[in-house]
Amino acid sequence: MAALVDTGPMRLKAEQAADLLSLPKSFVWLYGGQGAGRDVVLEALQERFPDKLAVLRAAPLTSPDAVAHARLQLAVLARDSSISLDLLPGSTVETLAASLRHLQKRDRILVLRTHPTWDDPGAVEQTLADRAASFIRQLGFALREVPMLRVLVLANSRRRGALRELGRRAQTELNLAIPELDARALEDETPWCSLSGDFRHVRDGLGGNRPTPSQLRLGVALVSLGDPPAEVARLLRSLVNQEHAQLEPLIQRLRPRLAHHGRAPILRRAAFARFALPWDKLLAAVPELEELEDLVRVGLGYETSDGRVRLSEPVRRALLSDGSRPERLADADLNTHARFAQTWAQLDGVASPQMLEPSRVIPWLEKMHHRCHSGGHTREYLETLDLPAPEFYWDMGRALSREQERFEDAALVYRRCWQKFEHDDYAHHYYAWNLDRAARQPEEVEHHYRLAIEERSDNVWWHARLCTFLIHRARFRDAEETFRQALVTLDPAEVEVHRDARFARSLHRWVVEAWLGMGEVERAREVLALIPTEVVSGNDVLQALAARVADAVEAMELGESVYPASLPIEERWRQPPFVPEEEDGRTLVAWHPGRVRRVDEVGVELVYVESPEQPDVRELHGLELSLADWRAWARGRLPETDAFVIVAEYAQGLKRLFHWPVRRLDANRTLVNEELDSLRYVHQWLRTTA
Amino acid sequence: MIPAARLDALPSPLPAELLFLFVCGPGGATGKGAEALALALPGGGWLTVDSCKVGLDLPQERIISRWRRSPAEPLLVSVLTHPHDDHAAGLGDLLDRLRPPLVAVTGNPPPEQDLARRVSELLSSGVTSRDIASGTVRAALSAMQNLVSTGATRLVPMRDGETLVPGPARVRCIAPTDSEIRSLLGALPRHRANELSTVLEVTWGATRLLLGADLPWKSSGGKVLSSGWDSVDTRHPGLASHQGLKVPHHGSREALHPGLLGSAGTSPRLWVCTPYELSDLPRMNPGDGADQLLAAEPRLHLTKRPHQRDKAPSGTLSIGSLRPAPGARSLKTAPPDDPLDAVWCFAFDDTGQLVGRWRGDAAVEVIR
Repeated sequence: MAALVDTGPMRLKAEQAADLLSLPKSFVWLYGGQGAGRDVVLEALQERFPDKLAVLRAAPLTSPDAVAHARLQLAVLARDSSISLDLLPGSTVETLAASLRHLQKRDRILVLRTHPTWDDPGAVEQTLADRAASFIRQLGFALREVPMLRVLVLANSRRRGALRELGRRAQTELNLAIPELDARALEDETPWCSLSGDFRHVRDGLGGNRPTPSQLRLGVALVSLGDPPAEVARLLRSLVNQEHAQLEPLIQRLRPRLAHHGRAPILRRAAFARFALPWDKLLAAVPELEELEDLVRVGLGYETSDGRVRLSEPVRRALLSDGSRPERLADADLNTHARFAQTWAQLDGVASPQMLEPSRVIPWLEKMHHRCHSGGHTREYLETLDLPAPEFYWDMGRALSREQERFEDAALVYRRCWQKFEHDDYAHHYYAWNLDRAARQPEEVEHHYRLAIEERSDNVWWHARLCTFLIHRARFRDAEETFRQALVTLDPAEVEVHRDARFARSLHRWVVEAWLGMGEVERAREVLALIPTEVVSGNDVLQALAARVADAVEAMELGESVYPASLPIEERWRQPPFVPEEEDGRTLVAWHPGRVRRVDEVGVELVYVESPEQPDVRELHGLELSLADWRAWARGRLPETDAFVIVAEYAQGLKRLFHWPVRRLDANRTLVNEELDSLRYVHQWLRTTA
Repeated sequence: MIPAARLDALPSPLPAELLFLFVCGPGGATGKGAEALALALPGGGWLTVDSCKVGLDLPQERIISRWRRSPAEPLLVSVLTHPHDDHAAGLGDLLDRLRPPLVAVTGNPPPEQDLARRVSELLSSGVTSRDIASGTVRAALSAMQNLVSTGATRLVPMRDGETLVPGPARVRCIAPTDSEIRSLLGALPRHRANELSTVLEVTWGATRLLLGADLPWKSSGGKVLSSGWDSVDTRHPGLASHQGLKVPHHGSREALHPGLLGSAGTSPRLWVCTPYELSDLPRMNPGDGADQLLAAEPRLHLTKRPHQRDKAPSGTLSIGSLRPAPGARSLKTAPPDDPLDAVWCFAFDDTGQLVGRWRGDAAVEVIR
């Protein structure tokens, strides 16, 4: 980083923060966006306050163990050697305040290094976000109960959203600006090593403009991955001097680039690391990175001054979810997690959290995390699993479920969790969900779905999943009653459903999709109608859902589909542009949308709609054509069952058939596999396969 | 034939000493399905055969709840003659609501194999109307699995010779045979699932009813099928000798076997047919299905006038008034307003007499 950035301004900001933190009761909120240099500030502060800083580094909230991660760090930072880790299984304001008092007694400065995902927990799974929000609230209250403790929060943004509670005590906010590219950086190819050619190409296209270091690094990485340098340079130029130094447009280019790149699986494995590691350690975990060293060290990632390699969170997310791969991990991925676990184990050096000291706590937590994701856990091991905090069970349960599709084993893990932590709604819910996925013990599934709701009645997901479970079980009356009850519990005054789209996306959307999957169009329409029109129109997912329902209602009312599902409703019932006004010198008289219903040796059966432009008198008609007639009408194109066509009538009885161009279904539409998956109990019963 | 009364006039609870056949369909108004039967057996007990849905209402549920002889009168069995959506629409819901102790489907033991054969056809096709149809079958299968797995219901296989309900009023299956099931199972494409339709025979004293489901006689190309009505006629000669017939396959020409129709005799036979509007069945063109039926019997009971939404005040229409206009065939669906509009109900005693007819507001009888 030093080669691209002048760290002077960061160090100055660190001095400013240090001066403030020298005062008793001080609470400083220092914030800056991606690449602003919070680690440089932290290093400077560590030099200024040797052995005084107690640094808590938050893990990404996308990981289920994130809150336990923070709790354990705080517990270890705060404790005397004799203190047990009360905070590990859960926290209250009192237990947190007790830990903070220990820190204060030892005259420590608490540094909370938040993670970007904690700033906007709305972007992660609701339960994890709620759990984080609750922890943040508790910690905020606890911090107010220990007013003498000095605190520095290193955040991505100002105090807002969920983090507002944390910073109530803060007297000062300091903004760490995104650094400019060092003036000499564009002249110096040295730091780029084998990427220097890519760097030159990008630089030459910049026309003297100077993007931020993070932008330039990502631009060079894109070129290295095969993006045309001129396009990358043009994008970088467009980002220069914008009010906010944006990375997102570059990330948007990175995703599709990775989707087709042969090295993407290797880079993805590098992104399994949630915390920076020295290059040799990273290489030990992902040996295939050797050939991509420069791309990782100076392109996609960067090296901290102490020699650790870090991927920024946006880059890491892009590498992990480029959208082209299923979440299921390959054996090579599982092995990588196992090697990461070994790597961190070498750094933590302890077998039990009771023996942890502050410098070892993150390695221990990362070891636990990667072990959860490394596979290879036998049923016998899982049956006796005993972990110190619920979140560790969640992390393992989710890994088994999502990454390995070992649903029964995942259920076992969640069962162990609620056996130990009986009020854990998350464990009850995902125990049920994984049993359901495995199509096992439906009574048990329902019981634990309901227990989760009892424990946490305000969790929208818990209600939605119970509703869709009942629909898929064809228990329609129970599903309707459960949905009605969910609305009464969650939104009795219909405030949430009007507030924004999140509520309807979490509840109504899934219920509508489940009804559609069971052919229950009227019920789907009724549930959709509960979402205010303005909420639907303001959200892509809900709009796509409304289009599906409208398409289904249209098909039901006509009796047959005569338009492709992918064609938006508002584009139907008007003359399509590919139907010419004149054929063989004859004028178009009428056109009718239709579909080939059947093709056999006798001929072709077509259905089509008369009077398409008059909604009130539209009427479905059928027509049986000989193969010879079909060929004449369709100009030789072979008939195919379910092809969507326009039947065009021209003067003097000339008939023509025009086919709709193939269009992709909306990306938000439920996947075919998911629809079929609703039959998993039936498959098991009938011994058929999905 | 005994005059028809309005369905509203049908006494509730039903007299226990008679056999009642309710024929319903089509569904619609975002409900769906074409045919659903309910049988009230003399002495007590109900059967349902297939299902349809009007809006969110299930005509069979309405019928049973309104006319059952006592609150404890059981539903004995629900039959799914074949897993096509025009016969399975709403069945999932119906099973969940009525929880019959037996569900019968075509098949040799184990009965699941007939259903298993269909599962692979429930893949999403990308054509919405077909996917909705698949969804209804998915719901029916899920409901069956749910009831069977909880022990509430037993799945029973239906094949020629299998008695579904013993006793004075006996319900038994007369098609298909076990060998037909063996040879056709797994080989039939979805659109030919009709060939494995369960045909039921209800006998009580001198009374005989045939419920023909969608069993065909010929293929759509006009070729006589080796299974189907030819086979039934060979095994069970005298098919034409019956008091009541639920006309097979919505009166399509390909289902009207001469051995089943016979010729008009001295005592009129009760023939009832549900229209399947999406295939314009029964066809009213000269010489087509409806004409063939009317050539053998003077009356054809239709649960609804095809393609028309209006009620049928007179209740009797001549075939001439139903002839289609030349040109393309209308496939317009015109669902009934009320779940009990497209319904015919007939009562029989055990001497072979039809003793009562009741019609919903949309039901008609068609005469020559």
